[in-house]
Amino acid sequence: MNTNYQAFKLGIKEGLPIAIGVAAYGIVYGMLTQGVLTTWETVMSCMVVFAGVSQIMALEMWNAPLPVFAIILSTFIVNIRHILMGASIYPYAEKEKKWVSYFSLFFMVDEGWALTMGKMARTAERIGYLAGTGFILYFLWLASAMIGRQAGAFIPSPEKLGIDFALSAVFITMAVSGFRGRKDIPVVVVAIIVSCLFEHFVGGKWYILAGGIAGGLTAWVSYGQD
Amino acid sequence: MDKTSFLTILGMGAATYLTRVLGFYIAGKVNLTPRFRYALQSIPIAILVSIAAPSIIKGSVPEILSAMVVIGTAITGRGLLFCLAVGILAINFFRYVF
Repeated sequence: MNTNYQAFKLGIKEGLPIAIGVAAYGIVYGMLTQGVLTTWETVMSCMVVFAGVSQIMALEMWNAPLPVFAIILSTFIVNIRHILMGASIYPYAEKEKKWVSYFSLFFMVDEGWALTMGKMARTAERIGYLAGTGFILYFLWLASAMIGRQAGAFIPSPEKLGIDFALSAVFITMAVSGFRGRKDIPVVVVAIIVSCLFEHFVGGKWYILAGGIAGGLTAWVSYGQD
Repeated sequence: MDKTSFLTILGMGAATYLTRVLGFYIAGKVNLTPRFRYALQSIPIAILVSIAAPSIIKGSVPEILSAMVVIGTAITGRGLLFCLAVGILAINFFRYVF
């Protein structure tokens, strides 16, 4: 069994490839902050909030006088999908010290969480792995935002290099490698249908939460059927 | 940075951290039956599929074709970095062609 420190280092190493796609978004975020946030507000957002979609959304609402509660409430709503993600980690972290888990959860973002779940399903990895993947993404998120902010005008658009497709490629690969065989087919089919319906009719990021809940319910219903 | 911005960002951070720990906390308080555990463990694949599916289905031709290439590559059991590189090459190729 690894120690949490070893798992942390492994998470940093294996999280690096994913950081390429995240850094592309960080550069875009940094470019968008120009003229909206001060440098220190940008740094603080990346270090305290560390959630890309809600940070970009806050920029849209960032007009004086600041709608403080609307921004905070929207942040919570956009990130509700984290609740489901955190719950799905629990079965793998039951025996961990509570403070280690709650510390690691601070660094939980979509990409690092997905990598960690794939890892934990294959080998009994420690929760420190989640902190490691999150930490490398945290560092690169801040760094790329600063680069985008300073050098925005000189950087070619992500579309030109095809980097905008990087995160899609990462999630597709992780979905394929996370597939556990025939018993997952109903879960996958329901998730595809529900997420596409929500994306089309509801919009926002709700389709991720809806697809996740629908998939979990499908697993609940189909449990023990095979 | 003025006080209002500082407190707003702090509030955003608190709201986000709450979403990160809430599910974990609740899962620890309820009785994890094998069935509930199985449902929780099925959520990752459901979320991953949900993130990817709408952008593939609604995407343009190069994106759909590149997604097919990545799925095909991932099925062969190649690593994440390899699949990522193949995906980037594919999207550039298909955008050039179409």
